[in-house]
Amino acid sequence: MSINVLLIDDSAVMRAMVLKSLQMTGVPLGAVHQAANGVDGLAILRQHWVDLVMLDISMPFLRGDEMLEQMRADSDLAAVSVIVISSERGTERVARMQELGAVHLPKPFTPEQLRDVVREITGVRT
Amino acid sequence: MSVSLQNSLYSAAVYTFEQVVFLVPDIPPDAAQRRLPVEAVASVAFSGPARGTLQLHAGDGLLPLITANMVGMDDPDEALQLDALGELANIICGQFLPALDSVNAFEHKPPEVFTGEAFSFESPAVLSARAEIGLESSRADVLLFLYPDSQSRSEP
Repeated sequence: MSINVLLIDDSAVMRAMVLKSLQMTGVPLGAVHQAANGVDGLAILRQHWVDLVMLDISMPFLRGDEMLEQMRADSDLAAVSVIVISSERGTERVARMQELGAVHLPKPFTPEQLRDVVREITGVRT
Repeated sequence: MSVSLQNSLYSAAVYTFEQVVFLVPDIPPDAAQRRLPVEAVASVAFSGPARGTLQLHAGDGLLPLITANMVGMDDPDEALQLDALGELANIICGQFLPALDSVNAFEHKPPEVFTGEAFSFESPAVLSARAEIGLESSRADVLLFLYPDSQSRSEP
């Protein structure tokens, strides 16, 4: 079973790095969508089937924590798995996102760490 | 400057360059690396148990090298290169900040990136640690500025 992924980060470099790491994990990937902020991310989620969202926190227009709140309040999106990728550690925003069911992966991370988190949150095996 | 802050800054920078850019730093940089002009600066402001700014100064030739290694792309454009420098500064900052306070959390702002003469830094914050690193034929300097009111709390 392959998984459809949405990468949301205002940094094109980070999106490319996360995608490269994802490809190195061996996790079977289906469609990979990308967005530079939460507004565009929500729009993609409402148009496409996505199994896993990889979400930055600090972004223009709609931050990652604000986007996650909106996802959890939307019955169509509430169950989508979310990994928060951020260099923030231990902040209230990170704690709130974890309360909402997201898994936090601090930067920098190795492909092995990413693989373990993807397995944990999606149940997909490589 | 505090020796322990200096060591923590070196550790955060070296770990990040090794893990994210796949480059093994030369410490200290050699004379040729030191002579290179600074091409761009990324700055990350942070607040919380201490307040300050972390700056990453990129020597001539460093931007295409780090960007190519980060995204696996030859000849990345300038916007991508500046984005890469900002992300590196952001990651080094996140890696370093627990050395200032390992219990309480910090907030940091998105990185700002400046090229050449566009960069100037005027602030009451005090230079509190500096890590000078050689990277292949270029160099990177990581500078930590702390506001005086937070510096006393962070010093061991």
